[in-house]
Amino acid sequence: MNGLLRGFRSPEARIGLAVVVVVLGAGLLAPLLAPHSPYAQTSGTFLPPSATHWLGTDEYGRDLFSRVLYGIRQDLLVGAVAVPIGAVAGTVLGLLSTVWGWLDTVIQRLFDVTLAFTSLVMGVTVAAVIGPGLPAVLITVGLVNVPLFGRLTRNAVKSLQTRDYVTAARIVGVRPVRLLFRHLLPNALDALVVQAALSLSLAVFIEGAMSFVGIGVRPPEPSLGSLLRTSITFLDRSPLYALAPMVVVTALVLAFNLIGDGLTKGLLRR
Amino acid sequence: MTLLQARDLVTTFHTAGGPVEAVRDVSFDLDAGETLALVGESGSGKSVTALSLLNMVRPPGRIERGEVLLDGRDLLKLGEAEMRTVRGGELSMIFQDPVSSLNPLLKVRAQLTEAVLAHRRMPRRAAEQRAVELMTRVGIPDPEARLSDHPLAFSGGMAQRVMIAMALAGEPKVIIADEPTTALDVTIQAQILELLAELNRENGTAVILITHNLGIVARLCQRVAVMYKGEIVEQGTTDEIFTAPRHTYTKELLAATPSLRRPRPPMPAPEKPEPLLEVRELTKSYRSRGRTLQAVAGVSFEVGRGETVGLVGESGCGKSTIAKLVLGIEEPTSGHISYGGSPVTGLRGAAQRAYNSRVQLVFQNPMSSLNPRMTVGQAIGEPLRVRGSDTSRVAELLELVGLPASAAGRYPHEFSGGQRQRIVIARALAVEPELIVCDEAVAALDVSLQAQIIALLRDLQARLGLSYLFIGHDLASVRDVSARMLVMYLGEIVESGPSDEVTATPLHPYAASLLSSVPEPDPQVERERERIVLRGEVPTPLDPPPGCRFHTRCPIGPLARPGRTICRTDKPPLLQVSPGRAAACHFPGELKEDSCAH
Repeated sequence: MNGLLRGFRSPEARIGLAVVVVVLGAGLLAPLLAPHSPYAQTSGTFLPPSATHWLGTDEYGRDLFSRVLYGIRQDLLVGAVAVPIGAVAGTVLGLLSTVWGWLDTVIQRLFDVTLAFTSLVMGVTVAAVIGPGLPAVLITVGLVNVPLFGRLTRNAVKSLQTRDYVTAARIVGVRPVRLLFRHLLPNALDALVVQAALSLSLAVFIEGAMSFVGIGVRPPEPSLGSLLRTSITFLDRSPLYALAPMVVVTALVLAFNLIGDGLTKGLLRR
Repeated sequence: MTLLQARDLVTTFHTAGGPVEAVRDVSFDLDAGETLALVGESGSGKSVTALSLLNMVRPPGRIERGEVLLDGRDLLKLGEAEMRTVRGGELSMIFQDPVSSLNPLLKVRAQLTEAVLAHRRMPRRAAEQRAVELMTRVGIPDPEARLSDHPLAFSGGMAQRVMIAMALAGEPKVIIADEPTTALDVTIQAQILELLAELNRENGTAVILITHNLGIVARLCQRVAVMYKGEIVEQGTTDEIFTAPRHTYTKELLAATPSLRRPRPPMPAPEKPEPLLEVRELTKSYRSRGRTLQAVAGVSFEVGRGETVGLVGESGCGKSTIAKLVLGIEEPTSGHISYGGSPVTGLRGAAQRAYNSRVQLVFQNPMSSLNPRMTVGQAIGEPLRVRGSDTSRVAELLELVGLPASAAGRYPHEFSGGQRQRIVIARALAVEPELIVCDEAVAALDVSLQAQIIALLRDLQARLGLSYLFIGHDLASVRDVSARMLVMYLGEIVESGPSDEVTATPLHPYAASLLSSVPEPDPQVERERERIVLRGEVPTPLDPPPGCRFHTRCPIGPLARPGRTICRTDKPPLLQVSPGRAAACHFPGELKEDSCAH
């Protein structure tokens, strides 16, 4: 059986996938599931949980449950747009650096520079340049992922290049481009898929962190990070306010990590 | 007196695909001081049997039933704590890969004294003294100093000696040796086998030797148990098994084992072959950290059309480097390679592809030489597709190597090692080459499969008029395929000539010792044989000895005959000694193994 498939069937990955499907499904279907508009203000501020407001209301009397559901959508967007773009850019750069030696040096030093920034510092830098907001989050997540995928691709391809079957392909006359896409990249894919799971977890984390410090998604737009940020101010009056977004962020990060672990296990076991 | 008894042992692996019985009702007796061989091909259950004896089978494997009686005590009923005193105490084990069986971070002293202390309480000082004794016992020179080395500072042969010393620490009654020499070169293998025989003779240690090599069995063992698909299909004294095998599998195994004494099949030897590949004064050096490693040092030879030339040598002698140079995968440091009259060096792009459509390579390890993500049909079709040829030839190629056309739709992992090697050969044939370089092409296969692949190569040669450069370390299998043979030592060719003549009457002392090191699958011969066992190890090519490179180990060189200083100072050129035969030795033909005649 294929290693990745075996990985997806491991208990860790199954649990992770279940959580991801539930949480992201809820975000995706927010317009249908949310009992209220996430922006509709009422006079009842800081209401405790009730039948109409499952998680209570916030400082403007908005329904917290609905805001959390809509908040998930930001992470959905970051995961579905920024991670793939970063992954593709990184993979392409990684591949290019295996072709020419001089380009390798240039690209690797660029990666060194990007890796030297921790993700939050990178976020601050991006926000300083283009201003805070969702675009800053998207760009940051993309940028952070480029060297991660780049290094991984480069190292995987470099080690695959010495395999007998690659040598065999070369001496039966396979040209470099076909060699890359037919022999090297497909065999490097396993590692990239594992990284993708971990990158999604990182994306949720970065969105949360950037919005929490106020350079990401900004109120009144709901996002898991911005909800957390606002809730801190009212921690003494309404402890539940912070709890819901926190639980969702943790669950998502944990779930993606579990999937990554499960995949790694499946690939390692022979 | 019976020392160890296995009774109806059954070990099953509970895998996801259902239970697999790896050991089925295995029973045998081992007398004190006896040497018993467990013989069989890979997957026959030899190693699992050994682990079962020690009650060391790991999940998903489980010993289902049976007993292992050591002096009447059932080991399988002992608790883990008791069992620990037995393991490495009365019953010791040594493994195939000595280097990975030692902890790389601990000095040998620590590991050896630990083994001593595990079985007997004594002061640390005394234990270290005992470690020195053990190192001396297994023939490690300068034991005191070597105890302070880390395992990585030991060569494969020396590391295996350390493993044996550790196994001896508890003064075992039985040593179980699982393929103890498979990872070693032939001349080093001869040394280790000699050591095991000596321990058996002098200390009366019983040995259970697990091996697939019948030559080793003939040399070392008194009794043989033949395993096949988890069962012992036949057991008896070594003479019985070799002279009158009863089970069909045993017969097949004996017939497949290459022997230097068996007449080899007739070989097409073109009278005056048209030279296809010509190699002149080839050298290849690698630089690393300011040091130069000369892998190939001035090698000349040619391969004629329709001819098979064998290239024999131990690991590190430069034979695989020659394969890479000939294929144009690497560029030589100096010297010339020409093919069909035109130079091969410095080819790129289209010229390289054109050259490789005439010269192809078959690798040692059929597991790693196929892309796991491509079906067999895609792998064989690829050379056709990149040339714009008709991919419908895939079925024809599969048939040519003896595989069904339906194989095309399956993935490499669905095939056994021998079948994969056939696929690799089919892929090489797809470009319709004239010369195929076989780099240890059968070394990773079981003997019965080796024989099949060799037969296939020979058959293809007859049908397609192919030429082969057959590189290997196993003299017997190289002799079986090649009309001419080159023997290499430390980057140089030391002898060349017709294969049967070189193996019958070697001229160079290294060739003679190499031949003498190869165990014959015939207990009669092995008993009467006087062997030349080379001392020491192959010197590193980073710092080859001056003069004749072999003089540091040569049985007729300055070591044995102090007057022969010429070997230390002058490099002997490869000179013709008799028609068609050449040797690079100042005293060619002097060293002979008496019983080495046909």
